[in-house]
Amino acid sequence: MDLASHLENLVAVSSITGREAAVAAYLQSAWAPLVDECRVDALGNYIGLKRGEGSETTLQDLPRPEPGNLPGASGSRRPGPVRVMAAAHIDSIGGMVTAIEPGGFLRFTTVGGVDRRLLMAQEVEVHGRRVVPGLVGSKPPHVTTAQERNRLVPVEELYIDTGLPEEEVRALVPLGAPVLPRFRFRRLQNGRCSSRYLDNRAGVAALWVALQELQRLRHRADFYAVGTVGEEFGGLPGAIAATFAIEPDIAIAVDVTFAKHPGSEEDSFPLGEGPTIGVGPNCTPRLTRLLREIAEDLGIGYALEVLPGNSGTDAWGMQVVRGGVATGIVSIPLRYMHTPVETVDLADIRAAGRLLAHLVSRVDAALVEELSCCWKS
Amino acid sequence: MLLEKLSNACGVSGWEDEVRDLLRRELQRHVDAIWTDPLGNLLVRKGSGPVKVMLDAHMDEVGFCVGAITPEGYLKLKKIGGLDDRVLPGREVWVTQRRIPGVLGVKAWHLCSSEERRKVIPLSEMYVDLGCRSRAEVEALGIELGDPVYFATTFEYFSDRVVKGKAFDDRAGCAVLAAVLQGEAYPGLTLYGAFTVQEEVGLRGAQAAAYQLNPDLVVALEGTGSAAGPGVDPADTITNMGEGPAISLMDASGIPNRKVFELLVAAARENGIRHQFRRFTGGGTDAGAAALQRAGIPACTVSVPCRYIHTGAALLHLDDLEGAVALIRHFLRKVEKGEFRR
Amino acid sequence: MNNTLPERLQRLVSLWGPAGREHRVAGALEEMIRSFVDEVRTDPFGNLIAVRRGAPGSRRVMLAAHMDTAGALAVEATPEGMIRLAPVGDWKAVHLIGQRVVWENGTVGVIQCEPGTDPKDLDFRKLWCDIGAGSRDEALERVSLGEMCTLAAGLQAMGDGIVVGAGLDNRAGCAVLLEVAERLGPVPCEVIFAFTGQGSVGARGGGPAAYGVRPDAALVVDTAPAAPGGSKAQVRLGQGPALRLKDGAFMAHFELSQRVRQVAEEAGLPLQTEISPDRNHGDARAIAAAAGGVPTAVLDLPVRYLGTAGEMAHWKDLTALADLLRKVLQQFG
Repeated sequence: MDLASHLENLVAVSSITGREAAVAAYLQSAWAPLVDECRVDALGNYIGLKRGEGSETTLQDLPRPEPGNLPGASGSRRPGPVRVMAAAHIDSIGGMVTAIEPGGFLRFTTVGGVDRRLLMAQEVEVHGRRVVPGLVGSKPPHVTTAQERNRLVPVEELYIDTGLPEEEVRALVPLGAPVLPRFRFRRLQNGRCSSRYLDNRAGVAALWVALQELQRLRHRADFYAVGTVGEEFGGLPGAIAATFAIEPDIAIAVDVTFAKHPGSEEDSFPLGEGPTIGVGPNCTPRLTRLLREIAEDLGIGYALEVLPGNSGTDAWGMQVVRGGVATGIVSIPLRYMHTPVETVDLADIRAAGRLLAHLVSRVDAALVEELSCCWKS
Repeated sequence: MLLEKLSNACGVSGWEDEVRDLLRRELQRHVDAIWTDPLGNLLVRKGSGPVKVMLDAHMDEVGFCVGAITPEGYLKLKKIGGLDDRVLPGREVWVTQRRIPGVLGVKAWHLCSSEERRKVIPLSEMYVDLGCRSRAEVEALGIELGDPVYFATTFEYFSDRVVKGKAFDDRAGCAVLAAVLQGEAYPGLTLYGAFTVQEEVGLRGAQAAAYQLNPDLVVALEGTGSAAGPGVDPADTITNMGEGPAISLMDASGIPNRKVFELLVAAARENGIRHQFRRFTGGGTDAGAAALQRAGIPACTVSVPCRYIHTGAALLHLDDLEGAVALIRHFLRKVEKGEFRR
Repeated sequence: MNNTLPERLQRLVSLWGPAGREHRVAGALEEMIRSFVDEVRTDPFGNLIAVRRGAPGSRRVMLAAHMDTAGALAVEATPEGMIRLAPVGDWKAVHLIGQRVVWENGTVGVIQCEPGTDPKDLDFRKLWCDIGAGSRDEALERVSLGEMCTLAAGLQAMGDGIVVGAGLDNRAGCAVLLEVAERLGPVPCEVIFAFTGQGSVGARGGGPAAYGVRPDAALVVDTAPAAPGGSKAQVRLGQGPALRLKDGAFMAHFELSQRVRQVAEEAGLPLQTEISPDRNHGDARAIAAAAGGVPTAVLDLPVRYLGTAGEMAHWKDLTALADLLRKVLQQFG
């Protein structure tokens, strides 16, 4: 399967925050040949393990028990292979049905940071007992005043029209049913793609690329490819729980970032020139440096992404789990974030995946030791 | 004085290196173990008694990092931590820990329309002028995106007892904690000093430190605001500088553990240490974050009142700093008796 | 309805216990639940944990209800002897004018503001608590800075099964847990009753409780605003408990919520649905992320006028929720 097809399969699966099971199930089957073992944890995170050379690690003992060591000395890393975790969230933004009005019209609320400016007249699918297509209702311009046309209608006033009779709607759609932008995957020019949900299926696809690369590369570290739930909304429970369970030495969040386009120049990155590598409090400086070195060695283009506080990625949660984790952030530039026409360049996904794979092949116990003790000038 | 060195050291959240190195040097001789963790917290242990106490002070300060380098050779900044745009224009800054000087310039007053003159200048419209003429000249200085930028403020004495400097939030806490660690030993305690990172961006380092150390109780040592100036509603004054260390009643990050709070108050009262309460229940401290680790850890905060925190220059009264040290020492003697041992 | 539930609720509501000061409530709950469980302990955070053991290797289900109420904190006293307050939890200044409060040592106070203050301008800085003191010193002799007060309003029955009082959020939830503990019967799982601290000030006690308990699933019992009283209220009194699918910061675990819904349907128990866009209340999100992840669902008791002295709840909702929880536990193999 090529990358574009894999991405197309990934975005076809529905997954608002809280309803990620279909994505995790897809990864369990699609990635089975690439990992040694996998499982879906209690919250719904997908965890795939690609063992390092000579490693006997299994996923049976997750979450790992409490280490009983008395703190007070460095250099006392627990035994066993180095663990590198890369997390890409598998949830996505969307909506949720809150009420069924007389006539069968559906009221809804948003899940995650949906762009409220483009909801009106949007094509959606409501995941009830079957997938029900619908339109977000709007009044025709003929009967709206100029003033009305300049007002963004709040979500509470919007409704979804499925065209079905009320009885049928009531039978098909339970309260809480997910509302998604309608699925469409478009191949654009120059290896670029546009779809719903490329935030963060692009990141998930980068993990797939990394797993592919690692079939060829030698690595002693155990690699955990994790698809996390609950990133777009609700305090990163998925990333935090998975990191707690895995206890990685290194955790990398693989996500998307803003790509440049007219009207979006600042804090945006060119499409097709490689991923970004995060720099800021959420990114362990030694890891940022290592990622940059690897990119340079491989001839992978990258940009530095300055993240002065909360990075808005899983890394924010992962970094402070247990006694702290060395974290890095690799992001794929994406245009029109949180719209149904998110756009990425496949080359950036490939580059991000290769970067991750080479990181996994390069880390060793000495580096991990340094990550704790590197805080000396 | 250590506070002077600490205040002059540079360390925005995520770049606490100078502070960490300074503290390591100052404390090495006085503690039994000293180490860092994956987040960059500097952790020390003194003693190995049965009661485990973690004293916390965060090393980081509010400031900036380089967000962009313009083709003309200016720097655009991003804030690290909470800063009011109104206190920024017309300040000198240091770029990177090499302290490359720059100024936050703004358009001359004369050239501003009357509307512009009434408007707060947002940071997004300010630039650091290093004197460079092009991006290449900036890069030749070794300046990269993400590099830290500091208020260029040098510590000084305004009087015998009142000092001025940057980063008293929380180098004041670091100074208190260092003084406690450099002082007497407490045979009944395993005393952990946690000099934490990234407090200003979300109480981050303390979470990992408290988890890892798993102490019986935590006291966070802070520099807190004092707004007791003219024209300030008494309800907004937070604390009074010069009237002793402030014990927290509650803040946005949590409610202090009652027993720890009461023991602190008792230690102050019984030993005649002038103290006050922090009359403001907003803001957050490491104590709130530490309290939620594992199955919960009793925690409270003691602060040194500082006027004008989160600006380029704050004031602090040395009575308050010394009062905090005395309070903590008496408190530790009480804790030694074992009430908190799990 | 058996008559222990009203007695228990009456007692729980009468207990003074704002956030961070739950010791009296914890003490009473410990005494009330002890005979129904195998083990009771307090964790370092101050949560009360009562365990009904299951067979070795059985799954562990945590039922959590926060046991604190909202309140106010004494931050200063004026020269005239009036106590200045800061809110602890969701109290709105406008709901407090003229209310009586009680401090930990039993001191009674009245909350007031300058007469004629526009309700729009009312905030805690404009309030004071009058305890009848004539000077700052006199006030501080009775109430020290840092002490807390809560609303003093006992429980009263109204017509048609409704009770009114202060502190139904969340003593009603605690009463439901006691009801479950007493009448549980044999279940295939281990059941942990967690009465958590500081639930009125955010997701606080639930995380440490879950860390200590390591449950396989958690069911949080809390309160939801019922209509009328808030245009966004979706639930009504007397129509059964509400399954909270989402709130302002928490997404319920889907499979667990579905299971609850299914049990309710099969047992013919009423269950409402609650999807709150912005309200953000209680422990659930802290529990979900704890110790490797805990599937978590929330069941709310509908309560009118939350955060006021006149909180109203319906007995039918309490008993229906207790019944539902027992049925869910019976099927938790």
